[in-house]
Amino acid sequence: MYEIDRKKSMLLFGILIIAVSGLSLIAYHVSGNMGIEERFNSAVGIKAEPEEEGLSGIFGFNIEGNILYYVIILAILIVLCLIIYGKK
Amino acid sequence: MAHIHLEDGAFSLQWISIWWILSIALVCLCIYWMKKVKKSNDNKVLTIAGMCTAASFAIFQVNIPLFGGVHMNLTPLIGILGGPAVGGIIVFIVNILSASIGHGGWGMIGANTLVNITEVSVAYFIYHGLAKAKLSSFPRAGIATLLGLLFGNIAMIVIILVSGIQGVMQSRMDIFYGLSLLAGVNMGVAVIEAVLTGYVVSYLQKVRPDMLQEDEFLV
Repeated sequence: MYEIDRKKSMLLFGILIIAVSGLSLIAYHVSGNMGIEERFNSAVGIKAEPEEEGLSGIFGFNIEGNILYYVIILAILIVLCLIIYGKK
Repeated sequence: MAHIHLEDGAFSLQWISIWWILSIALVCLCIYWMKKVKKSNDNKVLTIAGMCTAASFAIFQVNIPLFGGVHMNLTPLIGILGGPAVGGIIVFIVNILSASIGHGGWGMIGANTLVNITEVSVAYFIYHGLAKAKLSSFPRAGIATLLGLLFGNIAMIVIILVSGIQGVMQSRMDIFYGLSLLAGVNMGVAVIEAVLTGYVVSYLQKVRPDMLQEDEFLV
C-alpha cells in the first residue's frame, strides 16, 4: 500500500535532503568549526572556558561524560531488555 | 538530537523549575495515557520501549566528529516505533541517565525533555499523517525525522529565548541569531539521522511490519 509512489516520494525526500544539507553547510561556514559546547556557548554569548583535554576516541568518535558509568548503565539497560524480551 | 547543551546555572532557578514541572506533568500524562486510556502494558510495548531506551542512550553519548562535534539521539525513531506517550517516557529516562554520567546538567533535564518530546511527537504524527499521501516507508520516515528534528530545534530556541541566559550581555536578537546558526548546523546531522531512520523503518517494515503498527495511531 505504501510503496505505490516510490519514485515520487524518493524524489521529494532527495530534494529535502539537498536543501537542508545546503542550508546546514552555509550555517556551518558562517559559524565556523567548533565543538558542540563551544558552539552553544558562542551562540548564547557565554564566555568559553578553556576546553578540557579529553580522550581522542576512535576516529574522532568519543564518549561524553564518564565512560565507566556509561558502560555500566548501558549493560544494565541491555540486561533489562533481554529479561523483558525473554518474558515473551 | 536538539539538546540544550548548557551547563547548570545558565538558566535561572525559576525557569529550571518551570521546565522541570512542565516536563514531569507531560511525563505523568504519558504514563496515565498508557495505563488508563490505551491500557497497553503488554510485553511488546515494553520490549520496544526498552530497546529504544538502550539504543537512544547508547548513541546519544557518542560525540560524532562532524561539524566540530555533534550528537544523535534517535528521538524520531522512538516516536515512530513507540508513539508520543511511550516516547515521552523514554526521552525523560534517557535525559536522566545522560545527566547521571555527566552529559548535560541536571537542571536542563526538564527543558531537554520538552525539546525531545516535541521531536518524538512531531515525527510520529508526520509519519502517520504521510500514510495518506501513499509515500513509501523510507522517505516517509526520513521526512518525519527531518521535520521532527526541525521542530525540536525550534522548541530549543524558544525555550532558551524565553528563559534567558544568566550573566550574558547579548541581546535576545543576538542570541536568536546565534541559535539559528546552531540549529542550521544541527539540521546537517538531522540529514544523517533521517537517512538512518529511513533505513531502519523500511527494514522493519520488511522483516517485522507488526512493530510499526501502520494501521493504528498509538498516541
